[in-house]
Parts: sequence; C-alpha cells; structure tokens
Amino acid sequence: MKRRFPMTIMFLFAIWGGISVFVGKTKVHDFDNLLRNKLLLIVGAFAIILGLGSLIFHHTQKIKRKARFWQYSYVTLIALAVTTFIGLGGGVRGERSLPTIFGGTVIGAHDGLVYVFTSQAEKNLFMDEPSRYADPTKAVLELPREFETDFNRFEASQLREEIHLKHTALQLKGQPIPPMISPVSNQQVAYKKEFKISLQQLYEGILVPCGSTMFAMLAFYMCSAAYRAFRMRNLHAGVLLVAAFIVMLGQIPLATAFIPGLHELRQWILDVPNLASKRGIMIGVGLGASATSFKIILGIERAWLGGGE
Amino acid sequence: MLAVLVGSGAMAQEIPAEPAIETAPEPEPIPEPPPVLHPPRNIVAQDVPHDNGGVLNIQWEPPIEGVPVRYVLEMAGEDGFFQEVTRTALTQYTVMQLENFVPYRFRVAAVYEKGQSMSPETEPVMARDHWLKLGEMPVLIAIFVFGSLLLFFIQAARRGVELFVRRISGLTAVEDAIGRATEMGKPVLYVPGTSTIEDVATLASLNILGEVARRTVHYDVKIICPNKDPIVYTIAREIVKETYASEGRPDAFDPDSVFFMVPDQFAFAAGVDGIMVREQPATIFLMGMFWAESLIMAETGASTGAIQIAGTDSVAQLPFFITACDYTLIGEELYAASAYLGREPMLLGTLKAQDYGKLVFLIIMVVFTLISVFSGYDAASLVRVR
Repeated sequence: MKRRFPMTIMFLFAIWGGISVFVGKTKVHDFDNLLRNKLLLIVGAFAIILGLGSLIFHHTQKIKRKARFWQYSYVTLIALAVTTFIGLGGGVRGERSLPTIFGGTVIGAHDGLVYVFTSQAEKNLFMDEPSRYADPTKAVLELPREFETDFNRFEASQLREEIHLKHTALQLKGQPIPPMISPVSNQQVAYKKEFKISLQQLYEGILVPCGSTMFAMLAFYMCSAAYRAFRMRNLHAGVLLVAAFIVMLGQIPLATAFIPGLHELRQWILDVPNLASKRGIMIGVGLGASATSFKIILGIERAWLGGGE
Repeated sequence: MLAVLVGSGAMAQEIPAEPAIETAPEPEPIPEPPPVLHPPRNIVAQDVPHDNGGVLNIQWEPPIEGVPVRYVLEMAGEDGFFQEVTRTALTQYTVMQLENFVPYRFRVAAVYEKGQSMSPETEPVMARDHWLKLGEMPVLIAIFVFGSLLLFFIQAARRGVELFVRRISGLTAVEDAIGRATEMGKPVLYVPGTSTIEDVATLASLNILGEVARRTVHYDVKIICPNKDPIVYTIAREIVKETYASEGRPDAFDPDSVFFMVPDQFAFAAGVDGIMVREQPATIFLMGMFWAESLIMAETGASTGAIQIAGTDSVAQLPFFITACDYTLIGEELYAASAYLGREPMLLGTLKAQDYGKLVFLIIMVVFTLISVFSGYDAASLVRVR
C-alpha cells in the first residue's frame, strides 16, 4: 500500500498529462493547467515548509556538533531570521508596517511630492504608475505642483539645482516662496525622513550582487576549462582546438574583414558538424526521457520511491 | 537699323481696332470616370479542424481586375464593430487567440493606389475546440512505436533473453569512485541537478541517487545531498532514507545528509562549492539538469581533487562537464544510468529499446533525406508536428 498508492496517483496523473497533449478540448486543458500550476504550487508551498525545517535542522546540527566552519551556520540562520522578519514586517515592497530608518536617493517627483527610493525596481514601479505612490509617508519634501519634474531624468543633484532655479525665479517674480522649499543637498534630502525597508531591497541589495559575483567567476572558470580542453593531447583535442580557433576568430569583425571566407567557415562549423552532433544528442535525450517516463508510468522503475520492494 | 526705324514709325500710328473675332470657348475636359476598384472575392472563414480551438482560417481570392497593393482584413465580434486584424499581401490569414463558440464576421478590403474596395461580410463563423488534435499525430505514432519496442524488450527480458548492453565508462566508474571514498574515509557528494521535479532529467537523477545511496550503504560511506528545489529535496530524502531501510541499515541514515539548501541558482552554486571545499568529498556526482552554475561547481570540484562523475541532458552544459569532470554521462546515458547500475533485466530491456528507437529514427532520417533529395518532395512534412 505504501508504494501502490503513490504509484497509482502517479499513473493516473501521468496518463492525464499525456491525454491532454492529444486532446484539444478546452476543459481538458483547463484541468491539466489546474494540476500543473495550482496543485503543484500548493504542493510546493508545503515542500518549502519542509525545506525550511531541513535548513534550520541542518545548521543547528552543525552548530551543536561544532562541525568544521560551524560559525558560518550562524550567518545562515541569522540571515534567515532577518529576511523572514523583514519579509513579514516590511513586505515585498515595503507596503507593511515595519518602521525602519534608512537613507536613499531622491529619484522621483509627482504631484508636488518628491519620493525617495532605494532601488531601481521601486523607481520603475513608480514610473509605471506614479499615482500608486501618492503616499505622504514616502515624501521627503513637499513641492507645489509647478515643481513637478520629469522624473525619468531625475537625479538628486538635478533636484537640488531645479529647486534652486525655481526658488530664484519665484524671488525675481516677487512671489512668496513656500516654506518647505529650500535648496538642499543630496544627503539632506536622502536622510531627511524615514521610509520602509522591504524584501525587494534585500534581494536587490544583497542577493543580486552576490549572484552576479558568482556568475562573473564563470568567466575565469571558463578560461581554465578552455585551457584544459584545448591542450593538444591527441588528434581529437587537436581537431577541437582548430575548430574552436576558427569559430572564435570568426566572431571578431576585424578578422572576418581581412580573412575571406572565415565567416562562412565559422558558420559552416556551427551549422553542420556542430548542429548535427547536437541533434544526435537531442534525439538520444528525447528517447531516453520517453523511456524513463514509460518506466516510471508502468511501475518498472521504482527507484524514485526509495529502494527495495 | 532702318527697318527698325520704319517699324517703330508704323507702330506709332494708330491702328484702327479690328472687330473682335468671337472664338468658341474651349470645351471643359471631361473628367475621367473613376476607376472601378474591385473587391476581393469568395471570402471563406473556417474553423481550423482538430485543434485546441480559438483559431480561424480566412481565405479569399484576388479581385477580378486590378492588382491591389495589399489587403486589409477586418473582423467583428459579438459587438458588431469591425476592427482591423492585419494588412497583408497574401490571400489568406490565420486569426488566433479567439474565443471559442463566439460568432465572428470578416471582410477584406483590397487597397489600390487610388482607393480601396471592401468585400461583403462573411457569414458568422465560430472557432471550436476539438477532441483529437491531428497535428500531434506524428508524436502519438512515435510514442506508440517506441512504446511497442519498449514492451517487446521488457517481455524479452522477462523471458530470460540475455540482453547485451554496451559498456558506459562513466557508470562503470561509479563503483570504483565510491570505493575510493571508502578508502579515503571521505564522503560522497551527490547534487541532483538544479531543476524542478517536472524535469525528466531530475527524475533520472533521483533514480541514480537510489543506486548510489545503495552503494554508500554497502561501503558505509557518508553521502551528502544538497538540494535546490524543496520538492526534489523531499523526494531525495525519502529515496535515501528508504534505501537505507531496504538495505537493513535504517539506523545508519543521517537525516542531516540530505538537506534543502537554497532555491537561488548562484547561491546554491556557492553553497555547493563551500561543501566541496570544506568537506573535501572523495567523489562528486553532478547528475541532472544544470545551467550556468555547472562549470562553477565542476571546476571547484576538480580543484579539490575529487573524482567527478557528471551527467546531464543539457547540450549547452555538456562541454563544461566533459572538460572539468573525470566521467560524463552524455544525454541519454543519464537516463540509462539507473538501469545500468541496477542491472535489473526489465530495466535493461528499456536500454535496448532506446538503442532500437535510435535505429528507427536513423532509418527514417536516411529514407526521408533520400526522398527529399531525389524527388524534391518535402518528406519531413509527413511527420511535422503542427
């Protein structure tokens, strides 16, 4: 029963998934989408709870056992706690009630209000729909309507300059100057009022730069991998080296300008031998994936259920 | 000079006015009759048969006379207002993303340099969804043929027919690699890819995980299995746990050995790199679907001196694995791995079916290429999925 039940569920859903490929009826597809998207999303939500439990357990165990470099586990657990706190309190875009004082850069103005954002994403949202941001808590400086500026080209220094110009113009016209308007520095504007920190800011400020750093390391790894791959140990490696040299050289406009036929040769290598081998692999992959699916659907392959009978 | 003088004297004399000669007024040019602009003819709007619905095919014939610059297709839905759908020089158009069972009317204007001429409207026509999608039939036939091969070889294996399976060096090395970990007293690191459970490569990787875990139980080696996806984590954990139980060593299972790490791609790569550097595993398995993080992990693993066995069906990542790892399962070998390692006759039967499936594909490709080359007929259209 322990095995039969999941296998029966798997068999029924797999057959249904297969049927929906060949049946055109909308209701069939709607139900298939429900299974694929919504049901899987629910399962995923439960799995995330299990995953978090695993993460906490793994690192607390490391700390308890004083495993090698156990101190790093504190970093993970503290980061998890801080992110959870900010996520629950501040929300994805700082729409919740977590009060946090932080600095930022003035990048937007709309309807007489100047807004402070700490991320490009928030600015983009603001640009898409400024009225959504008509929130006085985000204003650092109240301006009359005439100071509304094209926020697309808006920078803090520009704001300061613009305020100064408007200030002078009002003085020359002999008009009263609103008390809130005064030429201010970037820092003054940036730190004048508080605004909310959000999960999005954490993501953009920490995770994205860290991810980009890892991705950038790929370039260096590629160099060392290329060195190993292109060493001429045998005939095959030699062919690879020559082909790679032609393809790389063919990418350079200056080289293609001076060497006639280089571009065509590069394209031929990519389109004929390279594509042929890729397609060969892909046919094998397609058959292998089909065979694996068949094996699982028919219950021949049961390793995914854990070993044994 | 004299002539000029005489002439000028004569001009000075008064010349009696001659009576004006009445001339008939020039007839006004008759405006050319406006050119007759003919509309497109025989507009036919039809539902595309045997599909998901939401698609109508519109065809028309060129006007009797004149060559239009282009045609403008207009469509009216339930509200009755015509809106432009497309401008085309062709005489047919497929309108997509329509609602099923909603009547639509069409008309086509032929646009000339001096104006345009609109055709009459078509009768209301509805898009429908159909039970059978004939465009997918080549796939269904291929599945049927391949399924038959699979069942044939499974039956042959059941009957006890000896099936020869070619040696896959990457899989033969699994036993040695885990043995090496035993000798060195170091753990085995298994990364089941960075994709989700919907990916067949992930399923194949989880199948291999069961076989690798079985060997780690036999050799009493620690296995470390970090996961990027929470659903994959739960399944991987169950697989390893069940394997320990089925091998009679449930007490030896360390619940901390299979864990969820992080769902972010590069954070996961950084985490796996950290494990490689800290734990110094003797053997590293990188099996499943990988993206840009493949080389980051494989190069770090290579720098630790571990034996690395990788397997992926991602054509773009294969060169990285081939370069940085000791053994690489290329494409289909990843799917064959669990059968190869398990040595179960029925599973080996599926390997033979895979090989014969490739043979069938090869024959079809050669025959269709010959037909296309020598007859000029596009034979591929017979098996093209629409």
